[in-house]
Amino acid sequence: MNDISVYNKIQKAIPQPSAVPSTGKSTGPSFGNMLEDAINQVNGLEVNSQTEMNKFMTDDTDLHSVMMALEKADVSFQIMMQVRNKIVSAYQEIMKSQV
Amino acid sequence: MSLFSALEINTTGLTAQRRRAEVASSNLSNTETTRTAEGGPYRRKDVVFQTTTFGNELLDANVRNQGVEVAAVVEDTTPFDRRYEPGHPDADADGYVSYPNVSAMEEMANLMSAARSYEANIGAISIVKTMINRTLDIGK
Repeated sequence: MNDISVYNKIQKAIPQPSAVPSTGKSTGPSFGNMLEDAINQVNGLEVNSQTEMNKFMTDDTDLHSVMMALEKADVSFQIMMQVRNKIVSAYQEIMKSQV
Repeated sequence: MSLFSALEINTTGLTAQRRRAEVASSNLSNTETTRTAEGGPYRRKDVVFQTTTFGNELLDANVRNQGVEVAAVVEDTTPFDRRYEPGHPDADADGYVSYPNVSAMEEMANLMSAARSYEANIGAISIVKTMINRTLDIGK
């Protein structure tokens, strides 16, 4: 697993987090797997915020639970973006190097 | 996720305080209610809070995070307010009407206290949120 394929994976995952591609090439738990898990977790929180919203619409939950679910999804998305930024900058750093 | 445990604890606080505000509102709107489904005037209700434990179940209960929940809504057993109103349809043989044991002023104070506690929990949430965002700024 290298930086570029990780980046590709993230890029694919970001526009449609519901369809995280599971290539599953590597055998042991790699950095890519870990990242994929993290993305899935972020996606889970996003889905959770949607279900909370639906529950709120049908009078099944409190407003603050919805806000909290949204907040969690937002914070975890920001964390994911930070990780992505780090990887992209590492990738760009490598691409800039002279061969 | 442990990152959000502080937020979850404050959410339990919000839920509990909202319930308390609900009960206070119910008391407040029934200050003059002389008829209920169980018969007799409305009885003032009060919430009882208890802790709920959060987080790692392998840890001792006293070091685990503690949230709050409404354990029960209990009825206030103080006597009803008896007023002499012989013309009232719910008056007894002596002409006295039993009014609920609710004091509007006390309920308003209760409601304000619930609102302040709710705000305090929201304040704690925004502080934790700021902490998380500041932590993310490390990477920038």
